[in-house]
Amino acid sequence: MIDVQKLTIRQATDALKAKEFSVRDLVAACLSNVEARNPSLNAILTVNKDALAQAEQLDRSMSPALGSKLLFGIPIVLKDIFSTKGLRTTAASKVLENYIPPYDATAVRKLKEAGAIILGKANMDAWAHGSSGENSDFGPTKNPYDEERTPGGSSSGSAVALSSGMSLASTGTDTGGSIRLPAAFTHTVGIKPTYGRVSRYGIIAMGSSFDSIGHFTKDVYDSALMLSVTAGHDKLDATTATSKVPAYHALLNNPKLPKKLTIGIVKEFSQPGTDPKINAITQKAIKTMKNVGAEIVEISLPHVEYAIATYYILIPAEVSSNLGRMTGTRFGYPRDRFGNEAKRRIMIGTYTLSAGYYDAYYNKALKVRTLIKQDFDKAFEQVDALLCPVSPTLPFKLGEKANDPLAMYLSDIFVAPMNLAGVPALSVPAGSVDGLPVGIQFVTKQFNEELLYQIGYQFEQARGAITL
Amino acid sequence: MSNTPTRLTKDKVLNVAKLANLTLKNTEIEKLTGELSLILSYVGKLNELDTSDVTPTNQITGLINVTREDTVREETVLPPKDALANAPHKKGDFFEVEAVFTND
Repeated sequence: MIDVQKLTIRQATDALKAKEFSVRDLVAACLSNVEARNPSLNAILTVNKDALAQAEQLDRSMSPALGSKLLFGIPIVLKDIFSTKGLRTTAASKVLENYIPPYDATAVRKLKEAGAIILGKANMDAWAHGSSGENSDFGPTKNPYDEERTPGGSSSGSAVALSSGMSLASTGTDTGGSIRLPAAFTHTVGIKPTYGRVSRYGIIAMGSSFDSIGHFTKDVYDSALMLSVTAGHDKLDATTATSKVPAYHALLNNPKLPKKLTIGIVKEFSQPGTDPKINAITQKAIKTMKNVGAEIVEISLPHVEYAIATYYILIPAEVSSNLGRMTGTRFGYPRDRFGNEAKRRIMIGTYTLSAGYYDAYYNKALKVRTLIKQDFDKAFEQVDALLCPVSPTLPFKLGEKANDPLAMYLSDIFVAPMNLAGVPALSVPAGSVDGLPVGIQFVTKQFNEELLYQIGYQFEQARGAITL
Repeated sequence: MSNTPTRLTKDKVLNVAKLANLTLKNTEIEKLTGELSLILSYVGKLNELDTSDVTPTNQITGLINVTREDTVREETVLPPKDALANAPHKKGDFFEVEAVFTND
């Protein structure tokens, strides 16, 4: 039986080309893991019943050695916020429990065109509102490293499907850390691309000026490969960039790195609330980069302490607007099915956008967004990249923060600022504490994913294996 | 926005719920009022900053006035059958909705 949990996309592609196994074998192995582990982990909401048939069709159709399809035969799980034609899409909300999209999201179309097999739809915090997966209307997803703990959110199921051997990659969205946090909690690589690098068309909108479309993989190479597929201008998404998409995976070995590479450490991210064991791992990562020749510089993001407050004004505002279309008239069920967190955000958003409050809250937050973006711009004039922690805590226990919305919001303290600035960030496994995964993130300026991946790759190579 | 903690009234919460087209159960109003007050008090932190000389940022792409030709994009057109496939109530090729206008 294929050990999917240990297999990377690159290894699978090589094996398929060498005919060590078929696409059908690979998909069957993934489905077998879904059957075995999903009852306890609750990572998958909907399995694609046609996956095996599609796999067989790929096996019949063309030899992967001849094909130029980068993800030929690779089984992928999609966060259930990606519209899939003919396959139920719920955003993990009871409002969309019966919704079957009549079209594919652009990112889904691109993955399919690259030969990927869509295995199923992953559980998440409903409407992507959350940092733990506990806001799902279909039960929380469990962390495979400790099933009493959360895997992080909102792309909880995506991270877990990958880390438990149900797929070779998973897609996610990162609006305030929702890829990077679960990646750090599940020992996977998570990319939050630059806002506008990957099309949002067909992806159920949370915060339309924040949503970044990314994915989870086992290593940096696989992540870079997948971004080469999903990134690019889309006529159907006016916020996408027209800049060319490099073959990120082919550019990982940059001979100029890390000579002359400067890495910034954010002064304001050293704060008493972070677990000292996480600080130790962050320090170790800094040392690793120093050892490969990078120059470490302390930088300041003076307004970053206001990022969460800014985020939790702007996001509920955009959410209240986007969820206005869920009326139960053209699709889905009526609004009385919204869960508690969705209601909180819709209410906050409606309040801050209403007459008499708009200037004091929403407009004020837009101005602070300017200040935070400027902080990042200035930082990237001084350094090539930032190295930051991802989470102030280890993967926390289910129920620990669920009854304290504000405590849950503060989980995003190191990840939300990047969404305000629109910059790309890569979460990479950095170590472990008592068998629980810990990640760190690299951040670069907008549309600099090429450098981001090169640095991430350097770190991954120099870091060595992590025992969990 | 003041520096003192925000304390929403029940009436305000009900008013916002109406604007948001949300029906709140009696059992949730008090809890929600408390939670929203807490969250609004926290985000009031922004008042510490002087932003009188700062322009708001609506989006961070740097793109301006992205337009397209006013022509039909076939890839976004759904035949009526597909467009109505998820409709809870339909009549012929139409979505059936609650009446907007009444007779009085």
